Amino acid sequence: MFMNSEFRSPMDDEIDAVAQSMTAASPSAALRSGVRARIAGRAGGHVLRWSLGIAVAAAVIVLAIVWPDREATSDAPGSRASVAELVPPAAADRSIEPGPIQTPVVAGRGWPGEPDRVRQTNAELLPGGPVVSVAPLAVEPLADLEPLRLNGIEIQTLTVETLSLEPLSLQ
Amino acid sequence: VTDEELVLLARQGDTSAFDQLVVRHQATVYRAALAALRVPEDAEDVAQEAFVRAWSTLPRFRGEASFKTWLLTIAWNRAINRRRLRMNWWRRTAPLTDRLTLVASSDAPDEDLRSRELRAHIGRAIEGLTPKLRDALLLSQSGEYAYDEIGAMLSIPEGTVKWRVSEARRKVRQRLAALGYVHE
Repeated sequence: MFMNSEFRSPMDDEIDAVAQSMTAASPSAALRSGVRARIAGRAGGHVLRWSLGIAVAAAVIVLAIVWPDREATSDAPGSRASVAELVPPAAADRSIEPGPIQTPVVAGRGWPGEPDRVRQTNAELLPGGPVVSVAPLAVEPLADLEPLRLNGIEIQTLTVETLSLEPLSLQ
Repeated sequence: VTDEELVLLARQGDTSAFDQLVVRHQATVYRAALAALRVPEDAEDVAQEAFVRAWSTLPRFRGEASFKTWLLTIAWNRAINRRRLRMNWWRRTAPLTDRLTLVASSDAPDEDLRSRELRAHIGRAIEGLTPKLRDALLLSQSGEYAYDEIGAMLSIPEGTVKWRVSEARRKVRQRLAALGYVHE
């Protein structure tokens, strides 16, 4: 196979000389300056992308904090979020215990078209019944219970069905 | 300062160290791209892309091959990709033979006509080789690369590089013989 590589014709010198001339050129200064500019641009691009990423992350965090709170505090009757969305499981479990709801702030609105039934109060539930009593807002939570929180934000308002529908299913 | 030392600095974000690597290897990379593309502007574009690519992938360079070989492989792959794209476009727009030029045929006044004609024929014969043979011949004659480096660039064994160079010469001689050029 390498017989050919051992054999060298006199014409090969001419061939090699022409082949050599076909790549005998040097790059212009633009090559180096172009590389430098693009690398600098790339580094700048990284900074830009990092900044953009941080800004987007911050915006997402702010939305995550603000948006659920807006939903919960909206006065529009039809704007209630579902129980599953608003109430963490632990809080929902607490709300089905008969007796005073031992959370610092509980409130609710009626179904669309109905008047609000509970607002800014502590409420008492009876087994199998709706909200039956309204007490003034409990300023201090009971020592052994944490305020209801959703996404780290204390919930100021819950819809009334959160409180009343669960006890109805007890019996 | 060795390439390895500059690479270490460049990996830590030292752009001036990388700039030194560019200065050191720009001609080598450019000539490899020129061998593949045959158009100086395209070769310069590809060389630039190769350096930028090398900079961005420097953290992944494991040092199994030399920096030069690694860089040349990047440049060669980019050049071949561009050549494929260009050839596809070219085939649709113009016959290849209309576009081929002999890059650097000597025009020395004392060179006789027959010699210039011979060189022109050799140039055309080289251009007419298959890309595999032509690449091996041009890279080997550029004076920039050892056979093992060419093998790494082309992803073929060193022995195959040598065979292709030899075969390329034989094909050119054959073509010249058909034109009446026979050296004893």
